[in-house]
Amino acid sequence: MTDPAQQLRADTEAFLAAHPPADIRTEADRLAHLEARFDAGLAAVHYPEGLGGRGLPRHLQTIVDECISAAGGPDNRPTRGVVNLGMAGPTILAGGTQEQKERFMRPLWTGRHVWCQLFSEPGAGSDLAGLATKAVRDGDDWVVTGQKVWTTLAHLADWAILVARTDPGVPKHRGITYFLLDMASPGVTVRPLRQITGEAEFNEVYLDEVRIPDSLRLGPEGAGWKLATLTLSNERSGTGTEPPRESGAPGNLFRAWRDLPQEERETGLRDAVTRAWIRSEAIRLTQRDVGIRMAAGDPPPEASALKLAKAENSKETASLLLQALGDRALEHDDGYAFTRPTEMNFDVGGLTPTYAYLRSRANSLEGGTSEVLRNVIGERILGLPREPRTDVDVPFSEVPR
Amino acid sequence: MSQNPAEAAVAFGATVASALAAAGGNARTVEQYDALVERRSASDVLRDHRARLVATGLPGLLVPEDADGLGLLEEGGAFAALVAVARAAGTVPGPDIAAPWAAVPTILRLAGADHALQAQVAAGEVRLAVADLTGTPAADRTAAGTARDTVRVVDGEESDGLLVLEPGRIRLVRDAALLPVSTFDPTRPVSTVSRASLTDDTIAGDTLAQGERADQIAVLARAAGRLVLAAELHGTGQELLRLVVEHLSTRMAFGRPLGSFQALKHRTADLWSELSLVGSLVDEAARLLEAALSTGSQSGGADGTGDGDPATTSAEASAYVAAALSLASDTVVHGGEEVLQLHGGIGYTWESPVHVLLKRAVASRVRWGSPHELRQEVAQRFEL
Repeated sequence: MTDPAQQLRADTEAFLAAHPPADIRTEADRLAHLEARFDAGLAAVHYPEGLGGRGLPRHLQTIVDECISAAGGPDNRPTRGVVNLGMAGPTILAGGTQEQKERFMRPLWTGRHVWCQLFSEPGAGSDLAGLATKAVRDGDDWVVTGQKVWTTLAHLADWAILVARTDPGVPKHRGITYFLLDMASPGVTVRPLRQITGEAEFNEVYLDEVRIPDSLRLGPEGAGWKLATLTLSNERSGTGTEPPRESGAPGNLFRAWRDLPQEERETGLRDAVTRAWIRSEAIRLTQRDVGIRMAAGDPPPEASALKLAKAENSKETASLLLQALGDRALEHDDGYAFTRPTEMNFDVGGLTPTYAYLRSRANSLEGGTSEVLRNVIGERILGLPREPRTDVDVPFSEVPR
Repeated sequence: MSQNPAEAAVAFGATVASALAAAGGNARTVEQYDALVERRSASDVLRDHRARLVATGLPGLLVPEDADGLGLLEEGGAFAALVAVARAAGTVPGPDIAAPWAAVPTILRLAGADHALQAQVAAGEVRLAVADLTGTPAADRTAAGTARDTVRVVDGEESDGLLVLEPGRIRLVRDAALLPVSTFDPTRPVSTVSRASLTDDTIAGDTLAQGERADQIAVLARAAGRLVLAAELHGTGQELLRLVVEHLSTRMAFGRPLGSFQALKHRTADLWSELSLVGSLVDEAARLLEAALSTGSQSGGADGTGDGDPATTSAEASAYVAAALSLASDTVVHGGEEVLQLHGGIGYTWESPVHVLLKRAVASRVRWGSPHELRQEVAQRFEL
C-alpha cells in the first residue's frame, strides 16, 4: 500500500512540473493555476474526489501547501476567504446536490467568486432562528423579501448563503430554508453600515421580492436551521497550525510595552501586562490543542470556550495598551473617515492602538456573542439545565416579536 | 496499537489516580477532617494516607530505574504522568506530593546522590521535606509577631530529613528543629524552623551540591515542585467545578433548577473556560520541564530532547512553570470563592466539601511563590 503522504508529495511535485509557478504573470494566470490545482485534487485534500480533494484527512493538506509554497506557487488567500472557505464551502459540500457542488466549489475555492453570508437580521442576531426574512414559493422560484445586516463584503460579493423563513406556521427552527443567492439578482440592495471606528466593514442588505430559482435551494425545504448550525460551527474552524508566541491582537500590547522607556513601565502596570502575557500564552496553547483536534475532525466544544477567551482577552489587552501609552492615547492617527474596506483584514499586527481598542469591542459580539457562548458552555459542555423557553414549541407566527 | 511513552504515562497516572482517590478520599468525611483539624489523631490519618500512597510506587516516579525507581524520565512522559497524578491529588485532601515526589527526587538525581538513598526515597522508606531559602516566597516574609528568620516547611513533621536549598548550596539536614504549628489547610501540616538554624555551618548536614551547580539544581527542583502544585490546583479547580455543576443541576428554586438561571450559568461557564486555559499551560510547562530535565541531567546535552543549551532550556521551563502556577493559583482561588458563593448558604457550612478545597487552593497560592512574585519571574524572563 502506498503511503498517502508520499503519494500526495509525488502528485504535488508532478502538478508543479506541469504548471510551473514561474509562468504566472497576471491575476488570470494565478486563477488558472489555482483551477488546475483544484482539478488535480490538490485544493483541499479533505474535500471529496472530483471536487478539489481526495477524501483524505485534513491535516495532510499541509504537505501540499508546503510543497507549493516552497516552489513559489500561489495560495487562494485563505485569510480573505473566510466566508468562502469557512462557511459556504463546508455547507455546500455537506448539504448541496452533486450539481450544486460541481457548479460552485471550484470558483469558491479559487476565490474567483466572492461569497457573503446573509444570516443576521436587525431583529435576529443571537436568536438567529427568530429570523423574519420570508421566502414564498412561486412556480419554480422563491420570492424573498426582508432585511439582513452585518454582512461582510456584501458590496463585493458575487454570491451569498442565505437563510429565510419558508413556513411561519411551524415552530421557529423548523420553518427555515437555506438558499444560494446570486447577488446580482434584481431587488438586492447593499448599503454600508457605519461602525464606531468610522468605517463600514459591514453592510445592510435589503431583499425586495428577489427571485431565487428552486434549483438554488440548499437541502430540503424546512431543513435550513440544521445547515445554518453547520455553517456557524465551521466559522470557528481552526487550521491545526500552531500560532507563534505573542501573535495576534495581544501581541501588539507586548511589543508596544517593550518599546516604552523603562521609566514609563511602572510596576503596577507591569504586573497587569505580565498577567495578560500569561493569559495570552495559555489561550495560544489551548488554541493549538483545539486546532489539533479540529484538524482531525469536527470542532470540539472547547472551540466555543476558546472563542470566548480570545474575544475577552483581545478587549482587555487593547484597553491595557491605551493605559500603558498614557496621554499619547489622546491622539487617534486613523481619524474617523467613512471608508469601505475591500477585503477582510485579519492582519491585526499593524493596527494603531486606538483603532485596535475600538475594533476589539466587536470581538465579543461577532461570530457569537460572549453571552451566547457562555450558554453553549453551560448547557452543552457542563450539562446545566436550559432556561425555560416560550418560543420553541409554538408556531413562529405566534411568537411575540 | 502501541502507545507512545507519554500516553502510557498518562494512562499509568490515571490508574494510580484512582488509588490516590481511595487513599485520600475518605478524609473528606467530616470525622477525618475533624481529626486533621484537631491534630490529636492527625498523624494517624496522615500516616495512613502516606502508607497507601507509597504502596502505589509513585514516590519513585522520577527516580532512575537503576536506583529502584520507575525510570519514567528515561523513558519519556514522566511529567505528563506526574501532572495526571497531581490533578487527581488536587481533588482529595491527601498529604503533600510536590516536595517528596517531584522536588526531592529531582534534587537527588541531579546532585548525583547515593543510589541507596534514592532507592529508599523511591520505596517510601525515607521521606524528605524541602526548605527552599533561595527565593523570596511569601512564606519567607515576616508576618506581624513572627521572627524575621522564620521558615515554614510543609509536611516536614515526622520526615527523615530536610533538603535545604540555599544560594550556592544544597544540604540534607537530618536534625532540623521543626516546630509544628496550626495550619490554614489542615490536610497539609506545616512546621516552622529558624532560617539561621538551617543555614548555620555548625548544624550537621550532608552537602549534596555547591556553587553554580547547586543553583541550577535548585531552579529545576523548584520548578518540579511548583509544576505539581499547579497541576494539583487544576485538579482542585475541576473538582470545585464538578461540585457546583452538581449543585446547580439539582437544587430547585423559584420553580426551576438553579443552573437554568443565566446569572449563575454564565459564572459557571466562565470558570470552566478559565480552567481549560490553566490545563493547557500546565501541560506545556510539563513538556518544557521534562525537556529541560533531560538536558540538565546528562552533562553535555540531551539526545535530541532539548532545543538549546541547558541553561536556556531550564530558564524557559522554569518561567513557564511560574506562569502556569500563577495562573492556576489566581484562577482556582477565585474559582473556589465563586463556587462557595454559587452554593449559597450550603457553601459556607463545615459539612460542605467546598471549604476543604478552597483552603487547599488558598494555601497552595502562597506555598512556593505568590502569583505576583511568580509573575515577576515571568516578566524578567520575557523582558516585559
